[in-house]
Amino acid sequence: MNAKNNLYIHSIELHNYRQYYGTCKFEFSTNPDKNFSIIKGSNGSGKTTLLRSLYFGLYGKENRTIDESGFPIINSRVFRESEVGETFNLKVELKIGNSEKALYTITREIRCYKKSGNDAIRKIQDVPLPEGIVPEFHQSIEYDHPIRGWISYKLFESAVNQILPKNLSNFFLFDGEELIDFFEAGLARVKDGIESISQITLIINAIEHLEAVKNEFRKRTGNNLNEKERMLFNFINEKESEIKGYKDQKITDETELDEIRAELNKVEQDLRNSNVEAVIANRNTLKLLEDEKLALTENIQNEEDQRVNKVLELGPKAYLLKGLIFTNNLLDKATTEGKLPPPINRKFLNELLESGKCICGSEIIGSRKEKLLNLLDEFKQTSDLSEIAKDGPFLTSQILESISSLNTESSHLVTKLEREYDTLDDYENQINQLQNKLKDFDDDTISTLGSRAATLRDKKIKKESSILYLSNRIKEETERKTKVETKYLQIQARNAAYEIILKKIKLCNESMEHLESIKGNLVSKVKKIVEEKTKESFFNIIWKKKTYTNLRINEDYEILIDHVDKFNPGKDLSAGEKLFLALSFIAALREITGFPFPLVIDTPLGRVSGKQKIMVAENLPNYLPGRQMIMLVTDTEYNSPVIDDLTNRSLGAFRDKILPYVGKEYAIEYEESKRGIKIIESKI
Amino acid sequence: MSEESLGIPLSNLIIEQVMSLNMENEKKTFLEQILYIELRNLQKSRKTYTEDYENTIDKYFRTNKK
Repeated sequence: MNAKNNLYIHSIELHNYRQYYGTCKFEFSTNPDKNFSIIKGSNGSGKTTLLRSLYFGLYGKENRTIDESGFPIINSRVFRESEVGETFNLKVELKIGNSEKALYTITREIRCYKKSGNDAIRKIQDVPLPEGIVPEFHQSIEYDHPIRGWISYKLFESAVNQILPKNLSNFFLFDGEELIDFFEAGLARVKDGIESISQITLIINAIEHLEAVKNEFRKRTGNNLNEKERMLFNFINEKESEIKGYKDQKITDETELDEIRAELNKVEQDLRNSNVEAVIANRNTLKLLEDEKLALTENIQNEEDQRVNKVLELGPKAYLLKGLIFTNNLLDKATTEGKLPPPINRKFLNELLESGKCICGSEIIGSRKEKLLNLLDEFKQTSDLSEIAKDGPFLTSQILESISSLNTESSHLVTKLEREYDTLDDYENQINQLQNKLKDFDDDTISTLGSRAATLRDKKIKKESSILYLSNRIKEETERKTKVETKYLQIQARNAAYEIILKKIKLCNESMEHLESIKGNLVSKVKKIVEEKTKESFFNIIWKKKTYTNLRINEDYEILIDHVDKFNPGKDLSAGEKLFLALSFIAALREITGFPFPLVIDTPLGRVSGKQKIMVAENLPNYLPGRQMIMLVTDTEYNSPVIDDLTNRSLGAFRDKILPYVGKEYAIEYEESKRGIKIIESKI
Repeated sequence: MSEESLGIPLSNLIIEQVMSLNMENEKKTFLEQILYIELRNLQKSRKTYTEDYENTIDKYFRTNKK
């Protein structure tokens, strides 16, 4: 399909749609060489709302289950600010065409009359609206006819289905984050995709309806039957009613299974969003950090005590040292000046005084005795000083050493404490961050979601086995019925009155047989084509062309990728590879359907990180070249530079790589003061 | 583009499969007509079919006189 046949969304204009207060318009790139249009904004800025509005514009309802307690589809500011009795409106206008001009204008509008200020949300026509308004739904589609100019179509839904059938829209408008789990959500995705595009439902319905019409014809042969014929006739009718019961039950079960699957997907999505594993990991880390913090705080307290003791020990010594040094200096000075006498033995003086005689034999009395007593007194004072003078330097050095050692210990302690205080700060920061991260998660919600998921999985298994049982019963009872019916019709063939009816029954039977054979061939053929196209697209965009050698879809609709060393890496594929596998599958379905609608992807790289983001950016332009791609991205996924883990060098940002293919780029942000969205178009 | 042609077309794959069946062209046409009834019903979310089927079957026998 060439670029001219591709469809392009030229613009979307929103008026009072959710956060989009007033009128906001986006124009997208229709240049096949610059086929990417980027809308970037942080979380809550209105990106997903834009995707929803597109779906609403086409199908009159949004593609996501909206929580009844959430916001209404009409801008809440408009609702609040308008008076009771006033009217206001919500509008989405889409212009779609080829690369040169818009060919279709699709408009959806809800005109609202405010009857009260009741803002409780209720759903009207699947759209969440405040109780206080009376809505009027309007829609129109205009086509730029080559001769007649703009004409309006009356069959709105048929016209929109011509552009993009609703049942195929999931392959064109989707959430990129969900895309990574596209195949993990169940093989039903692949089976449903293949069955949707092969229009197998038409064949299944035709077989069922031919059977019903045939049964009606047969019932018209029930007059004037003999006993044997009546018995066969009744048996067939009983079997028919038994089979119908099984079929009805199967339909009910299948509907319930769809509901279970849808709810399970939603619960699993909520669980993924809650990121239970991450929450548990964060909680464990938080507990660990809090324990570490407690141990460190106790340690710090002990060390602080030690530090205080050291200071207390050091203080008196430091003061003592000062006095000792002063005394030493005085003694040194006195010794140098010869003021200190040499140490004299006081015992000798005592002996002289006790004996009362000098060594010369003369008596020690009177002034001589007094002189000796004075000398003894003087010696008492100076001999201590002499001792001190002798030992002083040694004591001083000892105290100095002790002070120096205390000082070193204290200084080490201080350095250690400083480091520990830093670590404590780190712990506190990490604890605060984790507490912030965890504050929105409440155990009850997660536990409720977990047990709901388990219940749903159990219900799903039971429902699937019930459907399998019913299918087998239908098959067995149909075989019994067919056998008896063939016998009955052979008998009735002898009755000329039923000739035409029997011919009609025969036509129905033959047609059913042919449709059964088409059904089998069609699914296997579509599966084969999907396999080939997915493989072609995957190997066109994947960067590991030598690592992966083949791609297959097996009997159970499982997509298998052969690895050069390892068989089917399956869930081991990286987020980027899973994204490309899902995109390749979508490209295949999209190509087979023949609908040339653009792809609109919300947060395509939300879960692709590091170098892979650059690989995706470098290879994405090879995916559906020339087809319009509208990507709704967060600032982080689009602008943040990627650092090579090995070299620690910047590899650039996703934007740098994709920019040559970008024709339009917008930044959007939610303006709290205006309760609306601000749109800024970037200059490229 | 006419109003009539605005529905989803029958997929080429189905048409190919019907055409490749080993049977008379009249019966192939009949099958296609049946499938178009289903296609229209699907698009219009319509559940009634008996009258359309009986009419198509009658038409088949009127046209082919067999």
